[in-house]
Amino acid sequence: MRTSLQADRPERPETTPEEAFGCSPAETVNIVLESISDGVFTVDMSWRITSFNRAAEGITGIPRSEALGRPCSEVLRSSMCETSCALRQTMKNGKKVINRPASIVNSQGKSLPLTVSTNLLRDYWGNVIGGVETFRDLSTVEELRRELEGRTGCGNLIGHSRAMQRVFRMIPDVASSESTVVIQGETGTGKELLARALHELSPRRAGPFVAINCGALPETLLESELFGYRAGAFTGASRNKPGRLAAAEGGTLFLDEIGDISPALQVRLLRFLQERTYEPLGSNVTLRADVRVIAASNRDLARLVERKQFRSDLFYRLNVITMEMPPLRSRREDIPLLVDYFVGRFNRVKSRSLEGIGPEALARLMACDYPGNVRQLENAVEHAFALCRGGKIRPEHLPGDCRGVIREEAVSSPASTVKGLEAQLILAALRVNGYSRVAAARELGIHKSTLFRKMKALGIRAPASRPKRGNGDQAG
Amino acid sequence: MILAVAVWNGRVSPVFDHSQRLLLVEAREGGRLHEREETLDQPFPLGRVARLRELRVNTLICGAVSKPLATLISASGIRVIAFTAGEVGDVVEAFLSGGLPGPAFWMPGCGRGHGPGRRRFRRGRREGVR
Repeated sequence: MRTSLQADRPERPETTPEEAFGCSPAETVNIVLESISDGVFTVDMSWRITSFNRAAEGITGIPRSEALGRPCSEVLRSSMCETSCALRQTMKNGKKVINRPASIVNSQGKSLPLTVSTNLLRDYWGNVIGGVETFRDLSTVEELRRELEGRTGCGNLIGHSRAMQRVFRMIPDVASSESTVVIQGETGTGKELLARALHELSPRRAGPFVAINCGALPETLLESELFGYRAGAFTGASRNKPGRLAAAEGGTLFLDEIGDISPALQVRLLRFLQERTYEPLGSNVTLRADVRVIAASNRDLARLVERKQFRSDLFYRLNVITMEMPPLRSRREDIPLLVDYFVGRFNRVKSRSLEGIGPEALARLMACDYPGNVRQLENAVEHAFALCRGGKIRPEHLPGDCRGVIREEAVSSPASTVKGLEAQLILAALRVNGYSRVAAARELGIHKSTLFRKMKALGIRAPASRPKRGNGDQAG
Repeated sequence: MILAVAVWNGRVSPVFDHSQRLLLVEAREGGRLHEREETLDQPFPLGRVARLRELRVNTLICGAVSKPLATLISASGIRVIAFTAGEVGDVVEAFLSGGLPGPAFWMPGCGRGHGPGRRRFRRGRREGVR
């Protein structure tokens, strides 16, 4: 029956799909599937992949040629496969699943959050011949959400260097213990990231992670922030306010720049660590807190104790476990990994699509000394994102302090770029190690004779070795 | 030497981060001495690592595994042969006869290019497939 709306329209002659679209229905479906940004695959009755679209290749990192014919669980690798497979449920009861949250591990070992929808696949006669699953990558949404919440996972500690492997080796045992931890390291090395990783891997992971920068607040404000106050405790305290200790109940309290707190506050903190009790400002009621404390400092706490600037009893109470975050200049081999990570992150957060970093720019980044460590590298990549319109990051996109001293003639061809990079690495290692060839070779992971040979081949003339200065405080 | 294989439906479990069961094979000089199945119901990475250590696992064969978890496992001194697929019996035989890691058991997407399947996690570093 024709409706009134249809009656108003002029009659259209019947057309076949081929006439309408210039191709068969199957070809049309194929074009649509290839053009959408959701991953789509189909399986037969034995769960083997029978089709796999372009977006599915992109999200999983698996070429279609390798996916076809394989069990879907080995291709999608989802959190649901073993226990609550949406497709299995659909095949069993015929009901479709819409937007069920899950996660997969892609071919690079990265865990991606996504939503999954499933439906049955039927032939012309209505017989079920398999199933279809569509999945949407939510990693950008998740990244933005984490960015808004200021959260990062333990996956954000990046590094394959020996220095970082030492840190990774300690994490499982340290995270599972309830002991107080001191994280030492220069500014920008990722002390808070490590603290968050320890929290997220600990039995307290369901509790809050509360961070406070002791160096950023004046003494009185820090005390009230930490312990809270009662109404009338001081001018302007019109009502009770719980402190960060109360906010961290059942979780972890991260005290950054602990070396900067006043002697008076050191005493109060020591008492809390000994007895796990405290009184808010202006209150005579003693409160108990179930909180694990992780402290961090960019200053050498032991040296502060020697100078009587930090209480020794507090130092020994805090210093049950010490972890050291290595400076970036001692793990230069991690720089390409970190740059890749930051480029990917800024691409997602800033909705850009830079292809990465060119070899000349990377060579310059590798040659920097990074007094600001990973944070400085991150800022350098963000600076490059502001200036680079597309393609790969080039040296002119980098901030002045990261452009380095690399010679232009050293990077005029791909071969010379590699040599230039090698030369810059060697020079940087020599510089950091007071021009000691032996120490530089050790840092580069090569034999000293290899270093001499490379220096000769690359024409590097470095000054004679000078004794290294003693390590002072690493003030940030 | 204790070999653990994450198993599901007679095959290597697709994602170690969510695997539920382990097949433990005690092996010596290329032969199996003893086999048993164990549960792996710890949902969080650290619990999984602790379970592997509790079971005194030396080598873990598994399917896909997220990088942070793989890093924790290898940092614990356990050799990880990740991104492996196939029937459990075939995979164990291949391992005991020195055929693992090997292309016959790579998961899709890991046999070429730069995926983790080209490398294996071992004692804190990833090494090339030989």
